[in-house]
Amino acid sequence: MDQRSPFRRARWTSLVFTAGTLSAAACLLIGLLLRAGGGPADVGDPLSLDEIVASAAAIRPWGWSMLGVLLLLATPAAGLVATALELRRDEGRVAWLALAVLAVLGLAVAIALH
Amino acid sequence: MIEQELLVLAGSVAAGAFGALVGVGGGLVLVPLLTIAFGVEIKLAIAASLLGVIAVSTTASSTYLGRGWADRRLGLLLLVATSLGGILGGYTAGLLDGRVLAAIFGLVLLAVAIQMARRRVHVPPEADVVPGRFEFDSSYVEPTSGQEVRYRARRAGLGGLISIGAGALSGLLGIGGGVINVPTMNVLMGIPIRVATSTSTYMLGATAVASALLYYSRGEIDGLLAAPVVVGMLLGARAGALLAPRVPVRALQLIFGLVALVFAAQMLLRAWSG
Repeated sequence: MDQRSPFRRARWTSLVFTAGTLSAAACLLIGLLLRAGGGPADVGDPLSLDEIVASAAAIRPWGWSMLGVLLLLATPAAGLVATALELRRDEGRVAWLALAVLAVLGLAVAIALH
Repeated sequence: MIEQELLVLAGSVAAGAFGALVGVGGGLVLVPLLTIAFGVEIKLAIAASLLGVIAVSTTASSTYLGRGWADRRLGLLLLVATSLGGILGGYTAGLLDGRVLAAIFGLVLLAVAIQMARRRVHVPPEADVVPGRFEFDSSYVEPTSGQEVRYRARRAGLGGLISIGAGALSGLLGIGGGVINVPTMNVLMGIPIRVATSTSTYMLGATAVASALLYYSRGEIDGLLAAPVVVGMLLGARAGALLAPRVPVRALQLIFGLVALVFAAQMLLRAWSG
């Protein structure tokens, strides 16, 4: 049984959650401010990463907003990876559960792509 | 148009704060607000709400995990089920007409309003004998008393089955599955209410991702709508958490019940009249 405090046991997962949400929120806030500042409301193809990056590079609201959306969607999955790494030695079964949830999210990606 | 986005931001702050204060999450208020007050198509509103759910879940979970309130073993066990349900809900939403979704949303709002009016907190007994095959023991430190509270997670199989339904409802309607997850964990599985709410919050993010990916693939995620919604819900949830100790939560729950009844009637009317 892992005797470390809850904070130490969840340190990396908490860090990933915080960093992911903050960076996603920052991108979305930039998108919102650009739009509030009179930026164009034109949109591109959300399935094209090239279009999203090009729009963000052109300082357009849609590109920054979609970057925020993608970061947000990736954050829980990154948290699961951190959990699996964090618990692989002391709580192997829980680490495997995290990988099982990741596999279900992988299934969602596969369904979405088809 | 820009004014509308700022109004959506203000509405999302209010929905996030209200949801955090009454403990139902912001989606139950946000989706009808976006569709009724701002004329947003319901599937776009649901997808934007799911993104707000992810943001609020990951932010709050960071705190709950550090304090030891969110039970990761229990949460991940049920997450396998809720995320499968999330895929089911997200996929089904793509097959249903917006009017059908509005009708289902109206009925769920009615059920939650009634549940809110009758809310009882179940205090589970402490674990004494050796846990069975589908049970496990855990503990947390209750901040109000500073004492360690031991508990036993029971009926994990049945809890998992119900969690599939919670995930499906979350993906179908863009709400956190907490309205089902929390009573399931607290009453059915014997989990203390603080651990049940924290663990449910931890589960909501990955569950919402499973369904949001399907909305994304159908082009139903609008980045320009997502920006004010996510930023607003994050600010609102934070404000709600800060205000919670200072406001009469029971009175707010009753106000929520009334607001939910009005929204439910409007959603059902919208479904009926198209």
